[in-house]
Amino acid sequence: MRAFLSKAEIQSEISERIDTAFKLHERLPTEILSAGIAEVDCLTSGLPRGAITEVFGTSSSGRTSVMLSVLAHATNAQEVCALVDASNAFDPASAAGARMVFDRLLWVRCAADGEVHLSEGKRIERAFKAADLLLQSGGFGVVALDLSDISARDVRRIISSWWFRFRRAIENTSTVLIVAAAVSCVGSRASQALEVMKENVSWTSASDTLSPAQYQTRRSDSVISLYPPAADRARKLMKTATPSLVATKFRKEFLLNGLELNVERQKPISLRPRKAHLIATARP
Amino acid sequence: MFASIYCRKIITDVSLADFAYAFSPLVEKTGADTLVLDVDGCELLFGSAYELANEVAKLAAKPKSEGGLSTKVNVAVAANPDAAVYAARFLKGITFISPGEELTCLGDLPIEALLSPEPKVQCPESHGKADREELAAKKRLHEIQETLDTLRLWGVKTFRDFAALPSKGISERLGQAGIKLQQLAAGKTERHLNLLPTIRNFATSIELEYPIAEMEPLAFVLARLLNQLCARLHEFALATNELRIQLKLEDGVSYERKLTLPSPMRDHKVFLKLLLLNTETNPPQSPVLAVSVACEPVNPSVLQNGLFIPRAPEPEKLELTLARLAKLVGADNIGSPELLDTYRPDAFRMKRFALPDTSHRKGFRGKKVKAQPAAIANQPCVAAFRVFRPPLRAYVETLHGYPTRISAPDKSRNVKGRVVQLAGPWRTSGEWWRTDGWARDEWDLAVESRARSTNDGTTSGPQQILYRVYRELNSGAWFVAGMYD
Repeated sequence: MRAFLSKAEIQSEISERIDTAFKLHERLPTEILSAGIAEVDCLTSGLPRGAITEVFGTSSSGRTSVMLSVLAHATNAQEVCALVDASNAFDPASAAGARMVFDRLLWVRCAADGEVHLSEGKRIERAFKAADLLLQSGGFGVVALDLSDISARDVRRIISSWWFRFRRAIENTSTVLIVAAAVSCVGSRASQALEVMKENVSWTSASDTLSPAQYQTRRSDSVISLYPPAADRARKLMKTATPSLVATKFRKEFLLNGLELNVERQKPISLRPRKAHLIATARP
Repeated sequence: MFASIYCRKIITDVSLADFAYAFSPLVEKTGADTLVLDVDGCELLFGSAYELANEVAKLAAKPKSEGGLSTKVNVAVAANPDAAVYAARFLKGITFISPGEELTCLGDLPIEALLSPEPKVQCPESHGKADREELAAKKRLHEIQETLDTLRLWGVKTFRDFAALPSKGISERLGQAGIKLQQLAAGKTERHLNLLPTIRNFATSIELEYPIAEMEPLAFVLARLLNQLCARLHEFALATNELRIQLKLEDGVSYERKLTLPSPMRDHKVFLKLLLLNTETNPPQSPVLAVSVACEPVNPSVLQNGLFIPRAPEPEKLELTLARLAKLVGADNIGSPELLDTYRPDAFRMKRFALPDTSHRKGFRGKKVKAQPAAIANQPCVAAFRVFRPPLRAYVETLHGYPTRISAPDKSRNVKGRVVQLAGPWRTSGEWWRTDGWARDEWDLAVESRARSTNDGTTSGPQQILYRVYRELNSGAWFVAGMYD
């Protein structure tokens, strides 16, 4: 008890003279790049230049949407960007919907259309070598490394020296390296880590208008059961049921409207709110 | 010292300038039959000025097949070019005028010799100036004629008589034109030669003493040739955006490569790296006997960065990076995507990536176009789609036409589960007149995959993944086109 009191006394004594000694300081990056999403910018103040930003999440969590928004915003701001696509999964049509300027985008496909049986290890190797070449060349506003389709097991096996090398290559430059993956793999080498989670999927039923701004969650009245009630009772009496006879109930909707996403800032830790909620529309 | 060559007859089939270049690179074409050469520094090659004049006369007398002119020429050597020209025109054979002895040789020439037209150089770029120069020449001739008429009235008949007159009196009566003519007569003019434009040759070659079979020694040879080429480009303040390399191989085949650059450059190190990267992808099949490199000279690009325009990659570094990326992943897998004007799904082409030119961007009525980042700042986030290339062959269980369960046997993508929500079908078809036309029914499916354990001991719960699935109408086969993420 006495030790606590003495510590409190010491703190009160010192804080009178140096009031900032016990305050938590958040070091703001000197240069930032807007993510192109207002909610994410409010959460993070933007992506720091000369540093690595990591965006991770499970499949259909919205991580690719965040990455595309960053690239679209940067290309519209006349910055030359590069996308290292480890799995050749980039869709120019949805990027065009995000208003990306393709003349300022260098797309590097690490697996050609015919290389179906290329191992994930080989894709990772190509992706990292390509990213290294781009970062060493310099001059790019954003370099995006898309590892979203690489399995979590292989992503965790990436040696940390690569990340140190990337961080060393871009520090004191204005390049933003954004890494999209299934799990967090950059770790302490990243200046910022965002976890993206899908909260809900928005569907449009037949009576809804097609305006993305008028989205609202609506319980669909088109739940379909493919088995009559008698069959349901019969199923319950059966001790074993083959998968084909299990009653299947699903919702039949009109259109996929979009995704409701939650973005949580894992790093850096600060006193500000850590979560943001946004809507990614499937039909721009 | 200057040497003047005067052909006693007009030569049309052989260039007099080419003949003169054999003795000195500094040549002035005074007239169709007269040249002046700057022979300072030629002593090491030809000896004294008199020996050089003898050499010129001997070579000119030789047949054209041996590099001569097949005619006799007058050669005169003097300390100033005008004196050499008058001596060559009016004194036969070889004439050597020591400095200060011009009047001794030229003093007896009549003053009508001063009517010879002033030297004018035919520049290929000055077509438009030819008429103006001709008028000026006629005007000068007329003035000289008037001056000479005046001199004749005074009883001046030779160069010596004219040179003996007092300069002050000439200046008062005939003006500066008269002073200039008197200096010409006295052989005391000092001027520079109006040199002929040198022929620009941007090609270098070398024949090797022994065949080269490896890349490393070939790189040394290429480095030397590219260094010479770039030095020549630098000399004329030019650059190039096209390099051609030709290797003569031991088996008689000629190996040629052409390198096209998006922007003009003249850095020999960049050229060497690009050529080596290009050659490594398709190396020559036999040892190399000779190497030649040529380029097309163009004006260098002027790149002015704006204060508010973000910095872009340097063109030379970018070109090297693109070449290295092409070697790593293939040239077809790098570039900028371009959507094609068709409704075919996933229709795009890869075009060569080039830095956009932002220095001369102008919009309507010539106003400069500024970046509009605020235009997309207010746009909502767009749900991205990840394409499976190629589409995954899927096995779909359906009931009454609705997919209920899906399974795609692919190790990298775990597409398997129960359909919990779906939208569709949306029929799309097109280009039925082609053999590769498409007709399909598309569905957006929310597939719930069951919980699975991971390597680190945790268990991931069931998750809903959004896929776009389609069924081909022709074959009835199901495919997974991609995933919403």
